[in-house]
Formats: sequence, C-alpha cells, structure tokens
Amino acid sequence: MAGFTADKLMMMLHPGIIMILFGILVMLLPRGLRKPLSIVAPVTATWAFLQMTADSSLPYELTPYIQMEFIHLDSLAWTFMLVFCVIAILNGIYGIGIQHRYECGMSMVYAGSVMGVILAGDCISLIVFWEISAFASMYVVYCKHDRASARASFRYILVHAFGGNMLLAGLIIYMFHYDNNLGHLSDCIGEPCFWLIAIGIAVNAAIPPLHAWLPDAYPESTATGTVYLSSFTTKAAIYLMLRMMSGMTDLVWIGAIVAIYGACMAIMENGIRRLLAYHIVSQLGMMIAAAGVGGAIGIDAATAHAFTNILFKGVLMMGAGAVIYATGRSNITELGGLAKKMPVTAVCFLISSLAIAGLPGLSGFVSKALIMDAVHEGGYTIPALMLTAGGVGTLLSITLKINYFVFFGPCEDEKASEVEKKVPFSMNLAMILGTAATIAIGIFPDKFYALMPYKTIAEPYHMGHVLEYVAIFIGGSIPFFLYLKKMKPHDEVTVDFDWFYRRPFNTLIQKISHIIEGIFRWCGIHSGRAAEYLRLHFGDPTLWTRNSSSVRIKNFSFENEDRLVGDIVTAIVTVFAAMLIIAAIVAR
Amino acid sequence: MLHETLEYLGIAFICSVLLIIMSKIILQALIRRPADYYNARELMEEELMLNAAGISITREHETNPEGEIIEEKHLEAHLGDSEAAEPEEIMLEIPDAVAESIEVHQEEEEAAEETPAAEESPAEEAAEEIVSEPEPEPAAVEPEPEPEPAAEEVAEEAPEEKQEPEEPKTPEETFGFSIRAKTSRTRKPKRKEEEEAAEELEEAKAAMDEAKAKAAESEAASEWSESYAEIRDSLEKAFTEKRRKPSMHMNKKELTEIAIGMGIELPNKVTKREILDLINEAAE
Repeated sequence: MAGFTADKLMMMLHPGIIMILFGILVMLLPRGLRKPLSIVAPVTATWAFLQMTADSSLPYELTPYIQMEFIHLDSLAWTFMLVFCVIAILNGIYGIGIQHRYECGMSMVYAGSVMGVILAGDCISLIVFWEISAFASMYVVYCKHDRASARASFRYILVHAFGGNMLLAGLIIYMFHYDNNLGHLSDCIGEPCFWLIAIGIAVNAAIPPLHAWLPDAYPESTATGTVYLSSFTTKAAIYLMLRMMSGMTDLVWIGAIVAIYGACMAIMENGIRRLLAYHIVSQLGMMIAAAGVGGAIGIDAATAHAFTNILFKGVLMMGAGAVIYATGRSNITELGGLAKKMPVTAVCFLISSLAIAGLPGLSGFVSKALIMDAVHEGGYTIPALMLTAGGVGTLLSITLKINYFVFFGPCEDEKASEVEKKVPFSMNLAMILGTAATIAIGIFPDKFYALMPYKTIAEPYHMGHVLEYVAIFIGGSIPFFLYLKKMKPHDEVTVDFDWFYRRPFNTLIQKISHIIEGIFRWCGIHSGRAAEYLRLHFGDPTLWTRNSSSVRIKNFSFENEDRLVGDIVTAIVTVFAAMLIIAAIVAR
Repeated sequence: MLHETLEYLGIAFICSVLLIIMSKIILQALIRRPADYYNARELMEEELMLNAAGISITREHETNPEGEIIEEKHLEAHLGDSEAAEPEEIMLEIPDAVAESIEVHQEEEEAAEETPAAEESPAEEAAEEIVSEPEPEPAAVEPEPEPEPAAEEVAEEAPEEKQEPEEPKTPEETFGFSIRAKTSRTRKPKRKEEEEAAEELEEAKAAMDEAKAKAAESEAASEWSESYAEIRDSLEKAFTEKRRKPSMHMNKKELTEIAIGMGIELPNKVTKREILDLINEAAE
C-alpha cells in the first residue's frame, strides 16, 4: 500500500513546478547555494520527468465545473519535455560560473513555466504557465541591467502581453463553446477563437510580422540568458502549434516564407547574436512548414527539427556568448581570427553551424531530411524549393559568414582577435556536451527517430539525400567566396517590423501623452486657482462672518469669552468630522 | 543521380546568388540604417544635457592654514554656459506656510537675542495679546451680562480699541499670505543691503496695496490672486536678489563675478576666502 502511494506521488511530481520552486529557492537562499542548485534543479526536474508515465496526473478542481490538469503527458509532450530537460541541464552547466543569483533563479522559473506549458492538460493551466513564462523571460531579457536590455525587455513584455491576451481571449471563447481540454482547432477554423489563438501562438512562434521582438530582445540579454531564451519560448509555441494547428496547409507556405525571410535578414546582420536570432526565425519557418504538412511525418519532422535545433542553436548561442564574454565585443566587424585564441569555442561553433546547415553526419541533416521528405510527400514543390533556399541562407550567414569573419578567416586588425578574459571551464563543458549530442544524433538517426511522437521510420542517409546536401553546400558556398567583399558585414542596423512600434507608434504615444499631460496640467493649474479662491473666500468661517453685525454670540464658551459665528462654525465642523471618524472606526 | 546532383548544385548556386543580391543590394538599400538609428535622438539629448549645459557637481570646503576644514562641505551644481540657468535666477518656491513658520521662528530668535523679554510687564503682554486678536466691533448686539473677567485686561483693551478704529485690513490679515512674515525680517535693518531690501519691500507693498484696491473695486478674486501672485513673485525676487551679498555660501564663480564687477583684479590662484576678503576690503 505504501509502495502504491509512493508510486502515485512520483507520478504527481511536476518537473516544471520543481524547476519553479528551485528557482524561487535560488533567489531566496544565500548566494553560495546558487551554483549547486543550478545543477540540482534541472537534474531533479529531469528525474521527475523520467518517473512520469502516460497515467501521470496532477488535477486541481478550480470550481465544481472547471477542473485543471497540470500533467498531461502524451508522446508529443514527452519528446519536447525530454529536450527541454536536456537543454536545462546544459544551460545550468553553462551559466554556473557567470550567472547572477536572480538571473539564475528567474531562468529556472522561466524553464519550469515552459515545461508547465508543455505538460498542461487544459486551457487554464496552459495560460497560467504561458503568462508566467512571459514575465520570467522578460526578466531574463532584462538581467543584463543596462539601458538596452531594459528597453528591449519593455518592448518584449509589451509584445508578449499582446500575444498572451490574444491567447487568453481565444482560449476563453474556445472553452465557452467547446471544451476546457486542449484540442485541435480544426473544428473552429474561421471563428474568432481560432484567430485569437492563432495570433497568440504566432507571436511566440515569431511569425513575421509578429517576430520583431525576437531579434530585438534576445541579443540584449546576458550570455546565459540568451541561451535560455533561444531554447524555450519559440519551441513551446511550435509545440502548441503542432498540438492545435497541425495539418493546416497555409502553414506550409507561411513557413517557407518565414524560412527565407529569416535567412535574408540574417545575412545582413552584423551583431553575432542578432544574426543567430534571425536564424531562429528561419529555422522556425522550417518547423512551421512541417507542421503545416501535418500527419505523422509532418509532426515528427517538426518535432525532430525542434529537438535538434534546441541543441545546436543552444551551442551556437553558447559560442556567441563565450565570444562576447571573452572579448567584450558582439559585432562581427569588431571580431576576427579567434580560432587560435578560443579553440574549443571555435570547434564547437563550427560543428554546430555545419549541423544547422544540414551537413550529413550531424543532427541538422537528420531532421532536415525528415522535413524535406514530409514536404515532398505532401506535394509542395515550390515550398520545398523555398525551404532549400532558406537552408542556403543558413549556410551563407552562419556556417560561412560567422566562421570566416569571426573564427577562421584572416584577421586584418590585431585588436579584433584580442581576448580579455578566459572562458570558464563550465562554458566549454556545456558547449562540448551539446556538440556531442549533435554528433550523436547525426550518427544514430534511427534511435533519434524512435524518440519522436509517431516514431516515423526514415532513412536519411541514402545517396540522393547526401548528394543533395553536398551539392547545396558546394553550390551555396561558391557565391560567398565570389562576393566575399560584398559579404563583409557593416556596422549598421537593419530596420525590421519593430520600426512600426519603435518609431510611428512611439511618436503617437508620445503625442497622446503630451495631450493628456497638457489637460492634466491645465486642470492642475485651474483647480489650484479654484482651491485658492475657495480658501480665500470660504476657508476661514471667521472671515466670511466677520462683517455681520448680528452674529456675535456671547457667553458661548466656557471661558465666558465672546465668540464669532465663524468660530462656532469651525468648532461644529471639527466636532462633526471627529464624530464621523469615530463612527467610521466603530462601524468597522 | 548525377542529374539530380547537378540540379541541386544549380539550385543552390542560384539561391545563394539571389539571396546575396536580395539581402546585400536590394534590402541593404531599403532597410539599412546607421547603428544609432533608434537611439540617436536620445543620445543627442543626453549629450546636450551633460556636455552643453556642463553640469558638474563639485564638493567644496574651506580650510584654515593648518589644513583643518573650517566650513561645512556643500554641493554646488555648475550649470555652465546656459544663460537660463544662472544661479542668481534660480528661486526656490517655498510654501507660504513653511515660509511663515521659518520667519516666525527667526523672529522669535531675534527677539530672544535682542530684547530682554522678561523685563516686560504682564500688563503689556496682555495688551499685545489683545492687539493681535481681531478687533471687537463697537456696536455689539448684546450688552456684557457677565462680570469683567480681569480688570487689567479691560483697562488695557479700551484705549487700544480707541487707538485702532475700523480700518481696512492689511492683505496679510485678510488673505493670510506670507508677506507679513517677510516684512518682519526687514523690521530691524542692520546693513545697507538690508535697508535697500526693506525699501524695495515697502515699494512693493505699496504696489500690492494698489493691486488690492483694484481687486476690491473689481471684486474679481481670480484677477486679484493673479496680480497678487505677480507682485509676490517680484517681491520675493527683489528680496532674494538683494539678500545675495557676498558670503562663503556663494560659489567661487559667483564671487569672482562680483569681484570683477567691483573692479577688483584677482590673482590666478585664489581661494574663495581670499576673494571674499578682497570684496569686503573694497566695500569698506
């Protein structure tokens, strides 16, 4: 009996809540405990996750009619939870030496809340963890504590508040008309709840034109914060899209456009993390396209690419963070020839960048092959070409551009290769582990596919696929070296859709605030004058009764002194006010 | 197989060229902006505030020849070349009630220092109390039914009532502004500057009385309050300016300006104390 109870208890352990509680503990306990807890927390959450089964449940009765279900573990949620636990451990290792206590705690809260989104079995628990993740990630953006991060976090939370409210409104309508449980939205296509939920998901999935928060906010966080951010928010949105919107064919086209758009913007970027942030958008496009294909292979392809993307994009962000940590510079124009000074970072970054471009033998090839199979199977020829173009853009911007201009290319300026600080061992270890996972997935694709929700059986390493990607590598690289001068980055900024809310919308808000301020100032001045007028004329009862010739009341006071009516009125008002106060106190 | 490979090679090459042309030529011309595009205005404003205005906070103190600090440290904000921010033109707006309380406190201190209050007789004190109270009206509604509370008080009250018949109230009595307190400061001028300030005050009071008469004629309280506010501001400004005599509470720049205005030639390295001594010597 006792064993049965223990088993039941084990199944009720919620990895996300465990992470959140550890995050709160890290913020409350002394600083010395941060380092051990930053490893213990994700390991404990992973252990709790591994104890869970499909029968695991954590219900909570909100009202007699609404029951929340915090744990709903199906195969899709299991795959996403697995990769989130892995990246949480890697991030914990990466940030162990450089994170601040509050940053570490809020990062854990953020990771835990996203795990809560993945495990949510109903609309209410979903929106609760969704909002917690928005605010926790806002702090993760802000945790650099400089002006740029403060501004970026403010814009970030504005956009996410908009998206969260859209999702909330959509879910409320969905619950009213359909069910509290999370279901597919195919039944309500075209209804308000569908569009509201779609907008809410699109904001977090960074679908243009709602994507600008991502390249705006992610580069402004700390080295560890950016790694956390790149791993969780967008992938949770992809999970929700797979759960609620998979198989909607418009998503294939949207995903293909997003893939090219992100790649184009990445090619133009100079900031190393901003470039990688645009690449997240591009890779999300591939996942969205696969989700649009739907079916077992589409869902598996999107899940597989999300899985591998979390790992190699995590390593790329870790590498970029290590470069910024060591050199104090983040623009490609200020960097160069760092492979000799930072060999571990350079090698890990190179392998991960080859993986993201889809080099055979690495994880990116395995997941991209599944996506291309899914798109071809769905008969989407032009979107497949567009996705190939997106892959070429990835090759150009990350694999070639960053590796050439930052790590392995000739260094024209000696200052560009200067390193101020040594990268801590923990950062190198996390990068090495992530790279090892990327290689392992590339070597053992069958075992990797077995982790997917529908366990699709595919053979990525057939000659056609391999030659296709080799051809893409060669064909895509030639123009890069032909236009090498043109490919050099410039110290400029790229205007994106965030221009609309950073310029005209900002001006509009300022104008409105000026008008409101003017109105209030006018009211303030004139109310002050009015108050002064009242004070002059009615403030002192003695003054406004002084000229009366028949108002002297004598013998009214105990001292047998003369009193004016004004004094009497003052006394009466005072006594009345005192009585009111006493009555209010007694009544309470 | 070879055909497919060549096809993908061509596709990749074309895609790569197109992406480079699109991003590095077309989009670059359309959406590339300077690095400070979004925060240029903010940075410019900051620069204007910090550099053009030349705000710098210095901590100054005076030391005696032995090196000990003889004057309390204080912070001074130098506002650079900005004309609008001349220290002389900066006036702190103190609420009337606070000003009154400060002035009353100063009056009490002055009284404690200069007049031996204990020598006054109780009758005189009572007389002063009665004077300070609102005057009773000659035509009372009811006769006094009660016995006189204190013979001394009544004896003192009667002549006072005769001496001060019904007069229009002074503005400070009527409206309770802080001018009454400020005039008390000029009651016993000790120095020339303060005498001048007192004259200024008298003039301003006259102007204020005129304004009050006008206000009484028009019976428009809002207009009155505006004119009164103007007069009060000019009065306070004149008073503040006159009170700014050279002292160690001024910063070095102000003292230097005063010295130069008085035609004093200052050596290159000179302390505030030395400038002040030179000014005092020239004044004497």
